[in-house]
Amino acid sequence: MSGGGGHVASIEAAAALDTPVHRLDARVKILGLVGLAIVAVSTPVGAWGAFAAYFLILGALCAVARLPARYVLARLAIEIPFLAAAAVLPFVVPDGLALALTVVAKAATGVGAMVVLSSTTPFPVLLHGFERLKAPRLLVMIVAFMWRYLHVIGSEVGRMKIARQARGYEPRWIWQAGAIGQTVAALFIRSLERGERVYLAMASRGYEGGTPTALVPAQALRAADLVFAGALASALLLVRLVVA
Amino acid sequence: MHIPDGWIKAGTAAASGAVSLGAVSASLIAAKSRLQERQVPLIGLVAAFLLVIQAIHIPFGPGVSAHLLGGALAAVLLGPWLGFLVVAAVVLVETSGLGHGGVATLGANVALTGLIACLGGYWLFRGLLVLAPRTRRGFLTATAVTSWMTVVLASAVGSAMITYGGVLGAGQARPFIGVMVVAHGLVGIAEAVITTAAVGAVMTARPDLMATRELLPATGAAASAR
Repeated sequence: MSGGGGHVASIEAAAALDTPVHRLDARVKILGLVGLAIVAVSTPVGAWGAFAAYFLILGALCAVARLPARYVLARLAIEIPFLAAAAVLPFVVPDGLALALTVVAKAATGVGAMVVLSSTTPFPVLLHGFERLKAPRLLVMIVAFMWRYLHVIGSEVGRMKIARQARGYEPRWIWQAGAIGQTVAALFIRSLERGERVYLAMASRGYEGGTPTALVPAQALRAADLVFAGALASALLLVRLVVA
Repeated sequence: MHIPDGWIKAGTAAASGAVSLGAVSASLIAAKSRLQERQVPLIGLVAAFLLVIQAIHIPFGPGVSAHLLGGALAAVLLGPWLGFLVVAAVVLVETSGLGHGGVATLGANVALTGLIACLGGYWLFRGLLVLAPRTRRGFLTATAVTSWMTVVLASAVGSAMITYGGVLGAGQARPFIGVMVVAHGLVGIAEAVITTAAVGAVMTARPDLMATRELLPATGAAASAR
């Protein structure tokens, strides 16, 4: 779980940079990168030129956003279990090699697009982007609290781990499942009670649902946003026309 | 359990996406009238908890990586509609924030973890409660059995999507589904332990927050009511 915490911290550090990609409007980035992933999925098997173009677009965005190569590769590693499954394809499906490479390219484009999105947009800004794209209010609220309470759980886990180690106990084996269950139970209640205090504090400061606008000022689309949207859309259209 | 982009056919993705979209719309309407303000912290906590436990991947050899789901946990603590929305929100964040699960397969992944494991899990749980004795032990046993069954069921449907409706093809269906179900049979045990622990804790400390509080055994609820 501590690994997951470090993961979130590295994403937040990357998103805190200030580059032209970071400054783009969240709405444009959401629609553009989701669009890229969808176009990639609909690309026919063996259209290597098209996949090269998608990687080029993503690579250029990473470069402009100054995302370290090591960081991007670490984030792409989430695909590794499926790489192993793809390695089986050539042996079980006719024309399996081309299919396997295509599937890997599609998955990598999808993950890459989402890595660029989340690594260049701080979470509150991303959430506000979804909100301005008319995502259901209740869903936005659930996600907002999820993010806030993720940090509550993370810090409670840390405190409980230190306390347990201080008492000289470190359960990790199956016959210690009872202790792990009790830890989960205690963690759940402690986080819930701290979460309730956090919520009351928010409510008493005037929280009424939605993203605080002071944090993320609503702004109109700027020229750079329109240029990005136009360039990405025409690039994707061109790639698909050439492939077809 | 989170299918990446490119692994299922467009038709499978579109069909499961349409079903999930319908379920989200229905849940938004159903949950809005049931939502109480004091539930908000529990909603956020369950959502964050699901995000954490779904990030723990257990490798089982080539292409089979299993993880916990938490659908039953959301169903028992928050009820079917709010629980389903929480699961859908978790999958959305995993896709857009972590790259866990594909963009075009979002609907399929919501269907697996939300529709089957949470909404389906809730009705399975209600069915099991009829059979179980009305005691704390009976309630928690039904919770544990639901957790195990939803994980196994979701893995079976997910691997059917990848084989019959995806790139692996029907020829590979039997071995693939078999391996996935066995792996998730083991993961289901961990799921049952964690879900039962969390549900048991809330039952003891804050039964008033549970959406299923009317179903709790009378003694347990009365003894610890604050």
